[in-house]
Amino acid sequence: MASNPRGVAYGAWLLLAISTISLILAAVATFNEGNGIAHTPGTYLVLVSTALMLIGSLMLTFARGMPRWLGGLIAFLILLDLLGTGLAAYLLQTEWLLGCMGVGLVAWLVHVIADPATGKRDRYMTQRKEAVS
Amino acid sequence: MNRHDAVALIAALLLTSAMGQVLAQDEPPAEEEGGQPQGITETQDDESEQTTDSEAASDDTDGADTGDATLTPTGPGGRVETGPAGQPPSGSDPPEPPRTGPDAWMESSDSWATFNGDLRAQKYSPADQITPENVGELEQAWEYHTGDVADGSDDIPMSVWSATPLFVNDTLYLGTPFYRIIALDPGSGEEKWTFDPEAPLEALTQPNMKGRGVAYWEADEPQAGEACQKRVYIGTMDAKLYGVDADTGEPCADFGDNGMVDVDQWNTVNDKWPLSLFQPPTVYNDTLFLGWAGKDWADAVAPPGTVFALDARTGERKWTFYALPEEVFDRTGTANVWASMSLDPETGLLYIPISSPSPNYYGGERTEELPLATSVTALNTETGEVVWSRQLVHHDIWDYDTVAPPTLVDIRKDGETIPALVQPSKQGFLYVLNRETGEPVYPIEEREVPASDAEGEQASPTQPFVDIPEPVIPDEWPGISKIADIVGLGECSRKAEGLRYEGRFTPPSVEGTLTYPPTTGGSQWGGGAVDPEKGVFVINSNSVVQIYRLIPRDDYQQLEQSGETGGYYAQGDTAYGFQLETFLNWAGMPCWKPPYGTLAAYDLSTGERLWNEPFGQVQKHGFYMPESWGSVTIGAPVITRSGLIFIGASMDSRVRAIDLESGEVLWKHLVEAPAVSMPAVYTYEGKQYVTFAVGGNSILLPKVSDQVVAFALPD
Repeated sequence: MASNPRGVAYGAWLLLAISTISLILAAVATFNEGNGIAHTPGTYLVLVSTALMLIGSLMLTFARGMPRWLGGLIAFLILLDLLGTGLAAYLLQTEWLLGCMGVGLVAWLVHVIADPATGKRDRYMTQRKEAVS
Repeated sequence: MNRHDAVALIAALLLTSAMGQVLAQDEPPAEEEGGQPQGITETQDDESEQTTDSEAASDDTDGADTGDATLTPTGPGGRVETGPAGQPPSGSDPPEPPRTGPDAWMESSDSWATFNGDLRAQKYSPADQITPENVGELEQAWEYHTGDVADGSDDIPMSVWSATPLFVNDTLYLGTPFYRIIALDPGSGEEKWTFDPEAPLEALTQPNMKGRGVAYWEADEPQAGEACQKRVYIGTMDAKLYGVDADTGEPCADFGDNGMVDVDQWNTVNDKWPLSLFQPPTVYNDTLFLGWAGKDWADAVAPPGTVFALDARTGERKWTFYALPEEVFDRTGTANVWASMSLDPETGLLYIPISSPSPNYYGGERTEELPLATSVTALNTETGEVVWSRQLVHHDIWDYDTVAPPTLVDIRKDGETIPALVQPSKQGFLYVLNRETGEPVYPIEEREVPASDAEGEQASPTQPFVDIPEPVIPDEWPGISKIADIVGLGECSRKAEGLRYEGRFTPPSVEGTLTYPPTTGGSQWGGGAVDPEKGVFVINSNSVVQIYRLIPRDDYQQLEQSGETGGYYAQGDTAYGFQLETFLNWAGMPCWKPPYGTLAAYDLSTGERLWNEPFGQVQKHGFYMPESWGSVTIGAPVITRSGLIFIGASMDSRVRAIDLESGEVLWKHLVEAPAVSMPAVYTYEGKQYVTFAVGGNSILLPKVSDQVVAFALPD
């Protein structure tokens, strides 16, 4: 899954940046009176979903020692979060948040394809590969 | 399934009650406010005649009637009672024509002087500064907040504000749902003065604090320096009518009792509740024409519907029109006029939309013909006599109140110019009539309709149908929504199978009747607008399915004891109580196919529908549903000579400008709540303004506001 095992996790960092921006945008949508959606269940929903996305991105970025299955699970949940928040943003007609989800999907793909693997299992597999070679 | 449909499906699955709140009318049918059939005039021969001289006003300043009244039969079952300031009917057949000619102050092309823009209810402005080409540049000119708003969370009931702002006398006048009058500078929104009658803020008849604004009058030749040569009027829920000086806001001492007429003094039959004055009076020829609102779902025996004509200066009563014959007063009531009226200033005929008799959904106690109920009726403005009347629903047991003012317009058809009117309806029909005779311009056909199976009920065997113009909603109900049925695990289909449905006018039943259209329309109280030069009529409408269920009295008593009153109406002590239920699944989604609301344009010279587009967007929990679904609407459009339609009305709290030719949305702007009033279009100091009062309506959303917002092109 990871093609640069010792490099920088660009995808995770991009996800972190996007989820931070998304949380700010969701907060603006929730509390900015007069936008037609402030203080509605829909905006509170995206506020929570972007907050969870931020937590997940922080874990992918900084908790490099977590088990591989946990990293995979978090990545999967972030994908669901991106899709669900994107749909909610579409229905809330918050174009900037929708755009962030689009960029977030790109970041997620970068993470899945190009980021170094996380977790003890990954280090063990790497050692085995090195021994074989 | 295209991308849009896919998104819609996902949205529907995710939003568990996306539409439920919108359409679930758990409260009484809030736009139903009672009425009265047949006219009567009561004459007092020894009383003064109407004059144009304020000095001739009676010394009886409280507006109370004195002396014996005379009742004159008029029309099919109606009566007129002539008051102290009135002129008795001539007794000729047909009635003598009234004095004619428009009030000069009302004829300015720059103003928006009445609730519907003008007396003809055309909702048309000759302003042409804002065009389809530049409307995209429209921006907010100013904003004002009245402060009179309630969300129902405290002691004051929720506010429902449907007031059209009036622009006349170089001032913008507003009436609030707390019954204050506010005068603003029309160019800046700065407050000039306010008047507060300190009306009780209690739900005496309707469940909400309702207001549709103010009316304006001025003398033909105002005397400089004299007070009350120009006046503004506002009514209250407790049946008080106030008249104040239009320049200062000070009460006019010669109007009633120091500026107030207690209209409830004439509420003498079945006076179970006050005659609520939400709708401002129609003003013509120094006379105020006044209907009222009440509630026709709670009782069978209720105040019988009346229209009052009052002297604009003194508040004295000229005449009272009764729409129901006296013989039925012990069994029914209402058939009143709660919506706005229209008036032809050239002929002096007043056109009144008369609602259904009480109770709304069971007629077993009122089986005789009541020809003026649920009708459009033309009255002689001088005497109150019926000139002609056309009943639109026989023996109304669906609450199909005639709900909007007929729009008066001359139609060019087959080389002839026909003085016509267009009467919208909850049934979804557009009745095009000759306004001088009441005869149809396009055919109206009596067709057989289903019989009632409720004990004691005698549904009419036929009802009037209109094919041209095409009804605003389809003849058949839209059918089950697959999305809602899937989400409901087949609940919608199962529920429909157990209901009675045999097309239009299927009577209410004990097993439950699937009713389309129901009391929410079709078209609602705003009515339509017309471009009199192009002969194009525009109207917004709703496509809603509701379930009408009669509940035997014994069972209903049990329901009452259990406290389940939401959606249940007692209907007095008749054989049946009633349950009104919007056809939803467990998640609150409509069980029928969209669109839920449309805006349509008609060519009146041919009756052809030019376009019919989904209008607005449903919004729930902040989420906007697809545009193709449209929105249930309350409000009305206005048209400008430049070919634009301006309208709020939709659930999504947006106001829009639409191309009259194509129906395309050219501009939209977010406001604080659904703008359920019609806008005022006026020109002040050379600049065209479009001003909305943004109040909200609990039927659409529990979202209210006190915003007034004006739009104009940038300097």
